[in-house]
Amino acid sequence: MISQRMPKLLAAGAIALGAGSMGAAPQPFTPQAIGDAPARSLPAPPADGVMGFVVSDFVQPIVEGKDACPDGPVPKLREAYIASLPAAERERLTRKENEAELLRAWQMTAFGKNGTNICSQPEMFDRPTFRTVQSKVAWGLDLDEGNATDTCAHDTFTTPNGQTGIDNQEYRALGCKLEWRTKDGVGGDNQIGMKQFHNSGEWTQVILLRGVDSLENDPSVEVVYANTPDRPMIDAKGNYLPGITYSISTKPPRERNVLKGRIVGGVLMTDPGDIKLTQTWGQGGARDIRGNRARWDYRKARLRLEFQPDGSLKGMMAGYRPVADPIISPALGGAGSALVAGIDCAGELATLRKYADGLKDPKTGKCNGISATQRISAVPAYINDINQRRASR
Amino acid sequence: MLVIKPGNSGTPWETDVNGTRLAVGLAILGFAQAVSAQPADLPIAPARTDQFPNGFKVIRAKDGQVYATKDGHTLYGMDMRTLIAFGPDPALYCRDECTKVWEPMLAPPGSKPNIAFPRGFGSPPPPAGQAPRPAAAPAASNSDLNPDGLYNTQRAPDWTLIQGASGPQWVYKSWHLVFTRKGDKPGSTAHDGADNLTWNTLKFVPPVPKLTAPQSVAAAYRDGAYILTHKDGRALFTGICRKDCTDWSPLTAPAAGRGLGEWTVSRSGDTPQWLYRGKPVYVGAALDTPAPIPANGKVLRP
Repeated sequence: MISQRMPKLLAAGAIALGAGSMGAAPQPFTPQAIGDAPARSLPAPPADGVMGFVVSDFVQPIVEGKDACPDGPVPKLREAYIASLPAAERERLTRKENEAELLRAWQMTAFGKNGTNICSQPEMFDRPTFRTVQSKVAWGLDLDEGNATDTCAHDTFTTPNGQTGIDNQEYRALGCKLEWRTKDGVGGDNQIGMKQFHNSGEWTQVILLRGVDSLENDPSVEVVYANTPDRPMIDAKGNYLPGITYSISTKPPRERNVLKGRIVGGVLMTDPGDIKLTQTWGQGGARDIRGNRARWDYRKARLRLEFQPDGSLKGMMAGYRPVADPIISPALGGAGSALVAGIDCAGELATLRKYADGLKDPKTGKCNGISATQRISAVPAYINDINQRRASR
Repeated sequence: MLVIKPGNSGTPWETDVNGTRLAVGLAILGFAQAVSAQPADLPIAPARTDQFPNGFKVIRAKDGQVYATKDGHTLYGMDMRTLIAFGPDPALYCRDECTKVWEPMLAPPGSKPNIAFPRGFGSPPPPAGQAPRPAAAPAASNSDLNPDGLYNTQRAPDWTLIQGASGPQWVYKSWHLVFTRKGDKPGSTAHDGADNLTWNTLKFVPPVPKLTAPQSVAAAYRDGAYILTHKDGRALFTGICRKDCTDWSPLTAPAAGRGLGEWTVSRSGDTPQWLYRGKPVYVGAALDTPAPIPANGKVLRP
């Protein structure tokens, strides 16, 4: 049995660098890379058992293809309004000469009494729920392990590589939105937009592992999943450079999460725990402070990260998000989200509530959280942990 | 007591400078850690002046100085920015159930609101056949007032009046609608941060002192008093080092630097060094580190 041991810290603090090739280019995202551990040769861990990574990819994964949403994407407000009309009125209003009337009519559906709008006050609007993902396949983790005592009734998915019992109701609820999936069934704006936010440096995340004795099997590993104020170093093609130094910070809005983990067959898994990470949104300005106070907030969350031969990590984080969290960005955008992007925030929230499956209130029996998954890739980096860092002189 | 007349509310204000300067000694061997559980906008920024409405005062609570009523009940700010989901004008949020536990701090009778919660982007399209509403004329970029005569939320004084659900009501720092908690004991801050940081005590941080100092020097508020720091957030200190002096980094002055106010330049060492009130100034570590200055160093105060 491999014993847990404390890493030997360097004098200047806990500085960790992931094992493996420093110059390897990131690999494309493949089913094997996120789902299981293919046969490969992994490098030995560093002698002090400390490894560091900077997260280079953090986005909701989708399984591409048209079978997920056979009826097409969720209609935007304009299309939803047109679809609600009787056939004759639909034909009249969609004529070119009536464009101004149609514009006015569908935009009115975004507003309610007393100046309310569908994105700033989504709870005040009664909208139908969305088309949802119909296929049985999704990425994610089995969060409840079949134990339904603190969850609400829900169907599960199977991953593309055959893992069953997958809880990812956020994907079921929102996976047919155009922001998630285009009409052709491939990744939507989220895939690019989230990368851009992540690259901006506002959300930079790092992973620090301690007590790693083997990348193949180790029963006890400490995992620190945290934010850093440092901007990521990225090459001209958008690839994160390995071997860069980052410092963990807990200065708001940054977070530091400590998890217990283990390595089995080259895959790092963590025990369930709460994970909070920085998430800031600029929309809404000073009048809506929720943009500054937003968090990636995953309860009873787990990491499943697979060591790669080039020293990087690929995998997922999954957990239960407070049910209104996924709409925070368009909610902050207010009427603009509805008028410009055509987003039906009220319908989105209603759908999330309908499919909520976690964070069950024992008094009401109502679930206030929804299972959700983020795809994660990370490259080796030097990580200074704040708790071990000596004062900088 | 100094009585002044503010903007357009016509409400008497008072200042309580001497009573609010409750500065306490700063522990030499480590500053209190900043509260890390709060977002960047909390605690609330330093006051702009020492003046505040008649009927309020500053008391020392468990975690520092807070505004309170004259009988010592802590003032809470309801952060209107967190309540937009409940309506487009969060100033009107506190009704019914809310008022059973929260007591609004109403303005004196006859007062008129001088600020309003700003409207967001977008409005319903005009009815068929009507022209769009003309856009309001933009306010002058250097004006404290909007075209409607109300304060610009970004430039408003600390204390303003807004139309609340129960009438004109005090607002602190444009966003924090002022209440007390019903049934609270004087001095209690038990509800600080309630409802996901919607309700927060109104922490009093004295105005930042005006410094006449080298460009690299700033002030930071720690444990009830301001201290001098480097602008990059490291502590400044003075003292005499007798051994193990590697942590004593002089605050260097420009080679041709001259004195400035209480600051003078010493050229007796390897590099020009700033002296404050005749004492050599050294640069310590970041204020949020466990030991920002050496054990025998002494912090500097404005």
